[in-house]
Amino acid sequence: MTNRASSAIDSRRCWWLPSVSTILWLIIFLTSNLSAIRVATIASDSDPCWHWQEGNWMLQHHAVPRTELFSHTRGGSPFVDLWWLSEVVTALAGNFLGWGGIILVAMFVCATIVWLLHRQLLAEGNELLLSTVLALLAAAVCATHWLARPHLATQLLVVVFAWQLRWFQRGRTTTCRLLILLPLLTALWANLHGAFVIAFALIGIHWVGTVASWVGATADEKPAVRHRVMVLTALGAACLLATLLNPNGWRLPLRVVSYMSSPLLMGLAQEYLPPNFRDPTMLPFLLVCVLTLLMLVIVRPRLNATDALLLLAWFLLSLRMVRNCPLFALVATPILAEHWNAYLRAAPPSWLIRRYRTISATMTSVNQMAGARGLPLLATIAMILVLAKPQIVGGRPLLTTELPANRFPVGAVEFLRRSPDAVRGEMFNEYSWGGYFILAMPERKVFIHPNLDVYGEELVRDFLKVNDADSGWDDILKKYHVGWTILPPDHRLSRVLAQRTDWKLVYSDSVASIYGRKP
Amino acid sequence: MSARRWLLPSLTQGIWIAFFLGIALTDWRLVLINADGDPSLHWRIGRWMIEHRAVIHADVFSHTRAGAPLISKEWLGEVLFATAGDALGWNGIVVLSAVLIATCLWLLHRQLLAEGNDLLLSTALTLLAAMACSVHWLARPHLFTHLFAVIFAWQLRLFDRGKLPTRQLFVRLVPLMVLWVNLHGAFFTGFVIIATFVMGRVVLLVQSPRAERPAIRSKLSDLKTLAAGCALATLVNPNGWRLSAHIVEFLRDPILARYTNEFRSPNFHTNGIHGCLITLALLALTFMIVRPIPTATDVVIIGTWGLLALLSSRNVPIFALLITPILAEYWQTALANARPGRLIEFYRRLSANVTSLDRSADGRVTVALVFVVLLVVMAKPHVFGGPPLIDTNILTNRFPVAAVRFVADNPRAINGEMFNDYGWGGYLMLSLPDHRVFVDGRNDFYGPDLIQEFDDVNKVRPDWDAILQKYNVGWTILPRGHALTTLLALRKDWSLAYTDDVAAIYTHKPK
Repeated sequence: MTNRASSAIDSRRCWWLPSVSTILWLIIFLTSNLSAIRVATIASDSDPCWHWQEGNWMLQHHAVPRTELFSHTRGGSPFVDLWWLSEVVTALAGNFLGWGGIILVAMFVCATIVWLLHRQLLAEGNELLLSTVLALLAAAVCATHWLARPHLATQLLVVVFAWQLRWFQRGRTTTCRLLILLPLLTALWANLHGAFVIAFALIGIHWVGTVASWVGATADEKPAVRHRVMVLTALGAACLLATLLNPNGWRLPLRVVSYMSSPLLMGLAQEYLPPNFRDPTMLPFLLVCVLTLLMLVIVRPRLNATDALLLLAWFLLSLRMVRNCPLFALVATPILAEHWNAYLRAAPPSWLIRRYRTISATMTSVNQMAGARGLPLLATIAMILVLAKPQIVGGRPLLTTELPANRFPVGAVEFLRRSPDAVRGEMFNEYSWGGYFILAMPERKVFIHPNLDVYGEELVRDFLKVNDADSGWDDILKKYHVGWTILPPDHRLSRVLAQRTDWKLVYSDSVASIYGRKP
Repeated sequence: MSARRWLLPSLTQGIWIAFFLGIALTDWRLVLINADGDPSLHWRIGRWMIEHRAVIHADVFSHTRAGAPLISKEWLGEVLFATAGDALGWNGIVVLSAVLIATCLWLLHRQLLAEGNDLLLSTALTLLAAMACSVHWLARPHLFTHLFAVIFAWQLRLFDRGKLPTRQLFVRLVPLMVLWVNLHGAFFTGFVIIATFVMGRVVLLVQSPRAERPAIRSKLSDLKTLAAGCALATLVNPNGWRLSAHIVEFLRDPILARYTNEFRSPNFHTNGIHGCLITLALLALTFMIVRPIPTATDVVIIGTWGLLALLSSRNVPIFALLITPILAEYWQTALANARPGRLIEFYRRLSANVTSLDRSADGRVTVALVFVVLLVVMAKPHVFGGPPLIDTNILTNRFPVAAVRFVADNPRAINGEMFNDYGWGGYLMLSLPDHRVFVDGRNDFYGPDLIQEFDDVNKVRPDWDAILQKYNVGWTILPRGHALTTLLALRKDWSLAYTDDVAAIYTHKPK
């Protein structure tokens, strides 16, 4: 582009007009922070609660925990924190701005994920309209798992990793940049979330794809392919070393592997189960699959081995675990964009294609005038100010976010605070409430909470036996000195305890019942 | 011309023999009848119809809906299963199921060969389809649907490619639909298959130049007429139009579908689903590597049945059976046009050798011998007396066999009506014919209200006791670790009548 052309464009820029990428960022960030969606990000399960509390512990003690802190069943046993840095950030945000602060950080990351993906699609030369539609579709797939938890770091870093590896394959980034950036990011990833092993899956797929391409390469191409294989090998080694840069060293990757190899532990977490395609929230994922199928049958692209492996591997992984569905969308979208873009550019000018090109050209033209660059920062600051209003100017908060009392045993916890002597001994709690109790009742220890990695298979089996009121349940409760239970009123064990003469109902509301063992 | 080898089966016949014997002689036969209580249920209902020489129209098996109008969705299939069961016991039901499964795969293989695919390729893909179908290999009438789906799709595919005249299509498929509607309630599958071919034609119509459209319209019209003919054919059943209305109502109800395992999305963690995963992977690889130019119909079939398979695991076998001929065609073309290389040359030599050997094989006698010998082996106790050579029975660690024996031997130990485990309903119908069940696998019959009431008791919700009283339940037969069992153990008005490792029977103490 000439200087004259460049300055002509600059003079046309509107300082108030955000680019489409920025608009996407703003829509996701503001919608999720200001609407009822924000409650869903913290209340779908109790994981944000115990992450917050664990972060608090680290801020108070200026250390990463090495032993289990919150349960009486595993208290003091060795513990490898798989996401300590995310928990510190969560605690900082929560302590400063409450739940609103945690949501703000989470949605900042979610909006950035989509923004980055959109930027990648545009940087790869795809039409604006196509890029926007595909980015929105990927966002819809990812949104099913947009919870205020450390895994958002994984989604963000998957976009970055996949982007950089893709550009390396295409010669659009240098070896040096790749070998510096990705190991650094891996080191960060290993401290943010335990799913950093996905980095190795991505590198591994690229490695295999590159080796496969060597088979069909000409004599001229083989040196370049060999070079890429060597770089990817070095990259894998560098990233592996980088994972050791965490407070637990080599124990961290080992812990991740051992957790993933336990079907019992993995089977209890909803996101490790296969997707239920009857759930309406799976519709965006199905649409991405349909789009992929249509690309293969209509566009019929000559996929390189790496892209083929990426699509296939992530699709199959998505069928195995619903938590991989967003990752499939993030990895597949650039591939879909590339080939659909080429097809739409070369397609004969039917009415539909002409309409598409007109709209896309108009959008591109308007987008080129976008000059408002600081809007995401402004929006973030504005949001912080809104949330911090009680601290800054006093008075009531403008935006209140609390855990819903019809989903968590808020009333029961209030009762226990007022009447601490109403129960004796250790608690047996509902699995999904464990994290909430860790935050709301830090003075008491839980039986179990959703960080199953801590508990191991034997204790989980004990828990399930009691949870199902299976024979021997009372012996297990005695083994752990359980003196009271806090469970949903229609919980199987609650029903059984209601019939027992050695247990009495201490508290009950529509959400929870507390039974205490009689002395 | 080489002499025919009369005892050597062809590969197609070998597939039939392998699956027939493989299912009948290995532990597969136990899986067929023990995966759930429905084989027992179908046997019981079929037996009733044989004894009464009438199609059942009112329920006699449950006390919760005793006398309620009953639309038997698979009366003929149940009669056939009951005939086999009454003749040879569970072995008879296994033989019938094995015949259906083997014949389905044999037909698929024949179709692939008839469409000009290599023998080796056809065999490999048939085995893969078998692996995918095995997820739903149970001794139940839906095996007829697998078989008929292959036939329907084959004939429609021939018609679509101009290799079958319209008249022949009608003559073959309309009577087949008459049979299908009486054999199994999933005859709707036939309409979905026709619809995919119709949609394919519609897409082709839109894409084609004007000159070609009249021919396409003509075929489209024929397909619509076929659908109409088949729709009329579905009326030829003891319940007339009510059967179709009943099925539509059942499919629309989410509560009923929730209780039926095979209506849920496939669980890709279970071992049996690997065949489906490999099929999906092969489908993806086909489009990525072979890059065929599919017809609109092929795309519609793949998309429609792929989606239906992801929605309900019971559609996984149909998906596999329908896309196998499509995959075979693409790979056949790719292999035929592949550049010469060591691997391709090896494959072609091997394929040629096997084809040459296969051409001279005619093992019809062998197939018949295998069938007869196995029948005789299965029938040995009935014909010659003594213990069976092949013992096929309900597993005692999965069904309450001993508890049922206790009830049969001690009729006074229980009173009132029973409340039973859902999965045992069919087995209890067969093994305790003098007692009526609370519920069994016939969700479509019981309806959402009763299923909800059953669920409330099953999950021990607050009104469980009131529901049991409403239905005069005097005893329960449930797994030992069942929530209700645990609760009843604490109740003074219930007492334990029997327990073993599998089941516990509690009886209500009269006031």
